[in-house]
Amino acid sequence: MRQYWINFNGKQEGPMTMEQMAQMGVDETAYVWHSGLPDWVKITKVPELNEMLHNGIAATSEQPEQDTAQPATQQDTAQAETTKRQEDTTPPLPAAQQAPPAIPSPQPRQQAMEEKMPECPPTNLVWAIIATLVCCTPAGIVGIVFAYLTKKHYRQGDYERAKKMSDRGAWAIIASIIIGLITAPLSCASQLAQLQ
Amino acid sequence: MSRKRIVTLAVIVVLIVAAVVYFVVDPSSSRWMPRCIFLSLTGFKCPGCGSQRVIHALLHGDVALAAHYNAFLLGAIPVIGLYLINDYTPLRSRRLDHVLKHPATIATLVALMLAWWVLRNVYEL
Repeated sequence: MRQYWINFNGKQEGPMTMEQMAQMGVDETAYVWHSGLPDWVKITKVPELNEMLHNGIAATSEQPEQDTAQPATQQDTAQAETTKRQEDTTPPLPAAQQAPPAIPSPQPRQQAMEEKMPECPPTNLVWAIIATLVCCTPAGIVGIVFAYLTKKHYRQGDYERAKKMSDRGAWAIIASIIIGLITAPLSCASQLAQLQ
Repeated sequence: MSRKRIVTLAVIVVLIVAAVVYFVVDPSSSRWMPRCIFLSLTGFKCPGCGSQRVIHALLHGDVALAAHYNAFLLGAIPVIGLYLINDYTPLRSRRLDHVLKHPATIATLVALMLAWWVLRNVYEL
């Protein structure tokens, strides 16, 4: 199992396994580090830990070691297996260089999350609503649903997915406008044709 | 001139032109104004059907007539305005943005829109 160091509720602990971490009752305000990472990251940025937070330990404990799947750690193994072992058993270097961002306890959690994460990708919500009401209903409603998904994933700390949904929402709105622009003249033409 | 400025100006110009067109032309009697493609294809009204007539009525100050053509859109206009103000003007507030784009808010909007879509076809609203 991979070993993690964790900074949670102002305390730094480690090394520990994912199971131990789950027993601590960590939540998304925690910061973690494991060998291969250049610096401390939010716990939600580590895929397997993010999964653990949302689905519990049962869903992830069966997963194979992911070290080989990540480029950063691949480099590690290429360099020297012994160096890696050394790294695994000593306290993380980044901790000495730079203390992980402290999480002031009186601050509401939601606000703390907003400050640490990048801005939410645009939801394009208002354009999806306008597209629905004036251009083309089906594509516009798809745009609103993507706006919903953007926010939902962002609030769960999954920035990458939120960005993807934001982009798809933008395309749905563009599709809606294009369908509107194509069908409007067709509609005019057919009405004119009926007159003659 | 920055790109943002150009886009803003273009939007304003298009809005003014559209406003003039929709003030002069009455979509309910015009023979060349586009019709809703969804209505033409299926025979069912879409949630936005009547939007051109609503704009024409509003530009002439007739709110009751606008409500008759599409009451949902009439109610949606202030909401859309609120979103636009909070997204694109200096009046934006982070707290309001949090509420306006809360997943529950968006889900409610979709539910209202779908309900209106069904009801207007059932009760000929």
